[in-house]
Parts: sequence; C-alpha cells; structure tokens
Amino acid sequence: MATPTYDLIVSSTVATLTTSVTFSSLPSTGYQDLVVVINGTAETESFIRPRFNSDSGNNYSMVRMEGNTAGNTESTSSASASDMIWGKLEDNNGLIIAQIFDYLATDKHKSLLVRSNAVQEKVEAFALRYASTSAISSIEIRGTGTGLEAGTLISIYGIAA
Amino acid sequence: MTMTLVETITVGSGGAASIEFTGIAGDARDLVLLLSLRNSVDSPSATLSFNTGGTYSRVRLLGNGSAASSDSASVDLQSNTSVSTANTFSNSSLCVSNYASSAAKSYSVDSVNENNATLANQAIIAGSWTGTAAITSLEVTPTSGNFVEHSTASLYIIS
Repeated sequence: MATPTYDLIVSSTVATLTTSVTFSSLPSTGYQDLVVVINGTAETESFIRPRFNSDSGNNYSMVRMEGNTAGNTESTSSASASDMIWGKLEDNNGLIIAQIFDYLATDKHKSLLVRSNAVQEKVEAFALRYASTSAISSIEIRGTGTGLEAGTLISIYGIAA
Repeated sequence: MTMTLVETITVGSGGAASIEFTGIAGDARDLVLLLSLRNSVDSPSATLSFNTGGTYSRVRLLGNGSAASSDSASVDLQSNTSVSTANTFSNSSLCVSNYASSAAKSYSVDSVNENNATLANQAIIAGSWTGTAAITSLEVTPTSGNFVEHSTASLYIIS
C-alpha cells in the first residue's frame, strides 16, 4: 500500500488588496489530487471565481447547495461558464476548501468538490467539472467584487497516489 | 510537510462526559479532527470548544432523509444516540485552517449520523470562533448525556 501524503506544495499570503493570485508550475508528477485552502477575508464581499490553465473558455460547470442564516436552502446549477465559483469571502474570516481530483489526467475532465464557509451568511457545497483533458498546471484564484484582503492565506496541498 | 496523527482518543467502558485534546503544538498550519460518536441518551448533537472564552457563530445546512433546512446552529456535530440502530456511530470531520494564527478561526464541519431508518441527519456547517490565540486545546462535548464506549476522536495536524 502506498504511503499517503498530504504535502504543502505552495502557499501565499496576500500582502495588499488584490483581485487575483496565480499559482503556476504546479507539480507535473508525484501527486494525484490537489487540495486548495483559502482562509481570509474580503473588504465587504468577494466571490471566489478561479480558472485553471488561464482558460477563460466556457468549460466550467457546477451544481451547488446552500444553507443560510435566514433559514433558507437553495440549490442551483450552471453549465458552460467561463470560470468557476468556489463561494465567497466576507469581512469576517472565511474558509474555502477545494478538492481537485486527478488533476494531471489527460484522458478525462476534472472533477472538484468545494466547501465554502462564509459564516456571516451561508454555507455552500459545490460539485464542479472542468471540461478539459489537459493536465492542470496553474490555478488563478480570482476574487471578484472587493477582492482578497491582505492577510488572506492560500495554500495548495498535494495528495500522492 | 504532511498530515500527521497527533492522538486518537477512544472512550472506554463507562463512557465519557467529553473528549478533550490538550497541549496542541502551534507549529503546524491546519487541524483535522475525525470523529465517531454515539451518545448514551437520545440527544443527537455535540459541540466543539477551543481553548477557553470567545464566542462561536455557525450556519448549517441540514438534511434529515426527507427534507432540507438551514439555521444558525448552536451545535457543531451530529451524534448517534441511544435510539440509533445498535452498534452504529456518527461520522464527522472538522477542519480548522490556520489554527495558530492571531486572527479569528474559521472551521468547516461535515457530519452525519448513521441509522437504519428514514431519519438520519447529515449536515455541513460553517463555523467561526472569535478567539485570537493559537488553538492549544479542543474539547468535544455531547449536548446531554455521555459519549459511549468505543466512541473515538482522532486529531491530525497538517504542516
């Protein structure tokens, strides 16, 4: 049985308010899955809308469910979008955890499971698909809205096969 | 740089009023707690507490086998109870990111209870603790009753 690993590949702490952080040159060997953890804040609110491989084509699909502090539940979906939605950060400290499966596969589309924890407002779970058979070599974490505040910590872990 | 088991606590005969990890070192980045719980009474929930003091906020999405709901929960975890199918335990995972930071702590919980019946809760919870000290202790407490024998909790650090 292979030895399981959960290795920190790279992390970055946002120094000043920014709308984008890109992690390029992700490992091309040694890992099967990636876990991205975003722990931080937005000035007011910022939707996290990543892209892989600088791909802004209509290659991202998702289905999501939500529970919120108003006591409502919601489920929505979208297909063929030009980016992903991984939830949102607010001015309270938030936490987003994304699991990217088989990110180096060149014979299938990539699947993701994402949890977004914006405790002031809502908790969300997403299932996403990146319709590409290219290995994922870069991730751009885009914060639309007010962007990612200084101090936001983004970490990418690798899980070996 | 890896995920390392810090400690597994298994409740012994006679049960336990809580499960507590102390002396958590602050030299890692994230905490992961995996739980298998069953309560001695018909009370399906448990709460987390870090260190001492501070306040907690939560939002929860809950499914119970027939309907979905959401609320600002006062509990963090599902627990099997005295009326759950015999020998079954709940399953939960907790992730606390950047637990040694000087900011408020955000955490994420996935939790289900097991029951051979239509009614079985599953929940995802976003939580926040206002404490700004590094987390050095973590306690899991049932809402009422005790955790029964064979309940377990395993704490991991990711560095």
